[in-house]
Amino acid sequence: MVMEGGKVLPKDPWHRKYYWDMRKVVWNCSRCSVCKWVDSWEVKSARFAKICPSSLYYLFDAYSCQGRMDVSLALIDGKLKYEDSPALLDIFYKCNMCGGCDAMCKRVQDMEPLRVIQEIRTRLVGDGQLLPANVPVIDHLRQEDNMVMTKPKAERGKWAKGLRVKDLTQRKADIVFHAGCRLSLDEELWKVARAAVTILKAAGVDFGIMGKDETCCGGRAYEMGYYGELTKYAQNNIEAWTNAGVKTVVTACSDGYYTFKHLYPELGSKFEVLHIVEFIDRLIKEGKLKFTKTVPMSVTYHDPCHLGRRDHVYVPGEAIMGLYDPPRDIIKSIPGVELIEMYRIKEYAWCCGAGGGVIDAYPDFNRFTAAERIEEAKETGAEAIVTACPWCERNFIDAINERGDKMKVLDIVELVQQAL
Amino acid sequence: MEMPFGDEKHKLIYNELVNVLGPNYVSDDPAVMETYNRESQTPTFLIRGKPEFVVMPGSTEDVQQILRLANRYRFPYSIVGSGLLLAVVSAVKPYWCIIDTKRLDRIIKIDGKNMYAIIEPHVTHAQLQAEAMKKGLFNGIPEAGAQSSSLANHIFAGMQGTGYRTGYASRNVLGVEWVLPTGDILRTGSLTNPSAGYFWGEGPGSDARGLLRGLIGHRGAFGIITKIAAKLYPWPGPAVLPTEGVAPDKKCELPREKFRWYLFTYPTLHRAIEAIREIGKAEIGGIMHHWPPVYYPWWWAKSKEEYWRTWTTEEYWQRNVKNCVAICLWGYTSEKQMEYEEKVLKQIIKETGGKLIPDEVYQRWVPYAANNWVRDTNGNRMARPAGGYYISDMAIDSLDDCERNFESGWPILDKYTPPLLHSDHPAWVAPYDFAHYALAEMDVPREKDDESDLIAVGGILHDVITKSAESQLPAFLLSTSPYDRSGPAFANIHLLVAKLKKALDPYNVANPTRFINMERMGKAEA
Repeated sequence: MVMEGGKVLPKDPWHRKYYWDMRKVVWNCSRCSVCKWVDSWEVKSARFAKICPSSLYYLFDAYSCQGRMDVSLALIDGKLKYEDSPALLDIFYKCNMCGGCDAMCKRVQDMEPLRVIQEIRTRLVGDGQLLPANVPVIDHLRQEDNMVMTKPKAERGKWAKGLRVKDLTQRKADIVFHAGCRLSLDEELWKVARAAVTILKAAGVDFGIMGKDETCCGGRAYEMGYYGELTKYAQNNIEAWTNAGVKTVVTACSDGYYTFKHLYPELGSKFEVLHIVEFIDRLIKEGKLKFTKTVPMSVTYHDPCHLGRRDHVYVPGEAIMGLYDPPRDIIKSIPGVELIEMYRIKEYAWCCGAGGGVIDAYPDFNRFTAAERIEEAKETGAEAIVTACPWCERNFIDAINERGDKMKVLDIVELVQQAL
Repeated sequence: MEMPFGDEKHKLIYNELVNVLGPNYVSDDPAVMETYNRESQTPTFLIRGKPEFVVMPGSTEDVQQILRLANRYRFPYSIVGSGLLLAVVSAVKPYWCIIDTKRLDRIIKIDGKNMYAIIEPHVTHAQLQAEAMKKGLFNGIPEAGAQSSSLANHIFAGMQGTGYRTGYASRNVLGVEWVLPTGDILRTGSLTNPSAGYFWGEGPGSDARGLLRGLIGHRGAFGIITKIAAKLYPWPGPAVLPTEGVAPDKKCELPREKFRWYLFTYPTLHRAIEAIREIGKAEIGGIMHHWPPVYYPWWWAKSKEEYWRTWTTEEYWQRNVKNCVAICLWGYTSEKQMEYEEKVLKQIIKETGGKLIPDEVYQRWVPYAANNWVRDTNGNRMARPAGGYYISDMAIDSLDDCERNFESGWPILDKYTPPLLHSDHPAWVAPYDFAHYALAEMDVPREKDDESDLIAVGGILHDVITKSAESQLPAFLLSTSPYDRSGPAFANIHLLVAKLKKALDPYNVANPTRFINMERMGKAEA
């Protein structure tokens, strides 16, 4: 027992100054259930009060952050073996890795439960406990270097046809625009990548692309527990960018942005990493981009998880900041656009459903999560839901089409392009 | 305790539950069972008790069917709302079935005109309040946090941080749909008269709602409440709670013309309590408390480090808010009312010798933590400094007896510190009904380990019951004191409770042992 000035303090120093220790985090889960809900101060609607899609869809506490802490504790302490539970893999993989629980737990308990879920997934893969639905996705990645099932690597780079962008496999530039798997290979979304390039050109930015030689960032595979895929693609990308003389990586993919910014530095990356909204916001504020047209439209903005609350290195007590303001500043600066906020925004945003491997492994859960967000967006009365991540856009488009809704889905760069 | 997972009886019960609910709403998976066995106050040795089944009823009829199966096959069950106090419902016997209420999550109605809401068990306080505020109404909020079940709070224990105006929550229950342990439905309160609706609590008479009341609640041992009508109160504030900042750096400030916090200190706890009495007599204010200094960093600090620094190193809170009365004036009707209440309060502060806390302290705390008592969002930070905490002693009584309870309770805390941690003689006074009576509670941080858990169950429980008997102050330990333990000290109340339990739950399947341990009583009689 520690005594200080006659006062009895916790003997475990972890309680007095937080540091990462997985067992301490799971052991000290107090089952307060704050991880399942939007911060009580921020509950504005009974209908849209949850923050955890998994908890809302699968109901049993095992499918919440609290439950995953309990199961993690049982695994760590050897009370539960992999073979004891048919539900074990589902418990850890029926999670979008959106980080809603994590933001809430940081606020109330000073802990990082999402890191636990990530470490358990990595451990499961390392121990050969593979989720069957993930195996073909990873096999595809290993063969085709992308995370968009059925798409061959030969199609990568087609999106830029006719744009006359510098090819960094042949030439050099300070800035590389990384389109990412989804924008490169989802034909319906090519317009987003093309809009981004058009905007950069309009601002006079000297940049290039890797074209057909661009590869996956490895981030989504990492979230599925495949650390080896992350290191492989990090090495590839770092080498390619270094050879091209790149200093700054700009991407329109939120997953890629998170991976380059937060995961690559540990693997040797020293590049400046900017999401396209951050870059455009900077260009607008520097006067290098000027809007000449009015876009008469009411929109609501969806914070992608990796661009929002997950774009954050945890320091106890510090605000869980992400890129909340730049996209909002851009939207507000476009003549004619009215921004109407949803109930759950910024660190409380509801996930689109695509993350953590859910888009491929659990399509029903994926669709449910996206549909929930569309319902919330519809309550604002806005004409369009605007976001800054192609995975979110794909999910919202599918959910809207499936339900026969009328709402438009736009990437923020499309809005900007319309106003130029 | 090892559960006989997978034997023939287990399989039979599982199949019968699936017959009622379908396979998606029944689980006996060992990993799923791991997630219903502990919380911050669960003594470590109880963590070994896992349920064998978790079920998700979607209707009152589902609940009836589950309870009928429990009687037929003699398996014990308990119910969880948000699961915050799982310690009093976690499994302690074989074949235990936990009924999770997540599918019973509807706000069925908010009647703005007659000021009540009809809710199911999984509706949280935050959800209900968010909808009520849109209609200019307000529901009380417990210190447990607004993410907890509103129905459970109303019929389980009833304490609320807003009780100065909203009263004891169990008195705000107007009507009840109650599935008795046998599976029969009892509708009581105003529902005794089927055409009466929910707006008025009393019905024609001989009302059974009283069975649900009491400081420690019935813990599901008298059956399962599937719907209540809860009284709502006027809310003079905005339709949406105003907040600023990004978590954990959040502020909540209410419009000053309607809400004004005052915090003022006294040289002694006695004088602070006397000030509470005078303010209550004047019937002013919307929320009033005496919080012990340890509550302030619990609610306020954005990190563990900040908590320990301001609490033990700097002693900031002990220096600035010792014996401090906190009151929020609510201008229910007008700014003129606010002006009147402010004048009265200032006069009382002057007459009782109170001293306003320095503005620096006020600004440091009020915008960031005070309105937790309007809608609690940080209450669960209590577990943060050391992983757990104890509600070591609590009583509801007159203001005089609250003070006596602290004086007799602190030596017990001293005796068990360590392993309990520095708390500086906590004394939380939460007045109800304009301070007609008050909750006296002593909460202490502790590390979540065997050493402090054994102290709690083996030492504090015994000492608090002994102290209570000697002082005739009915104090209870929320999670560890069944009636058969504490009843002998209080007019043998356990004998009456046992008769009720036997009549309502003949096979003793409804959360056996926690509320009253019928088996232990039976052995004692023999």
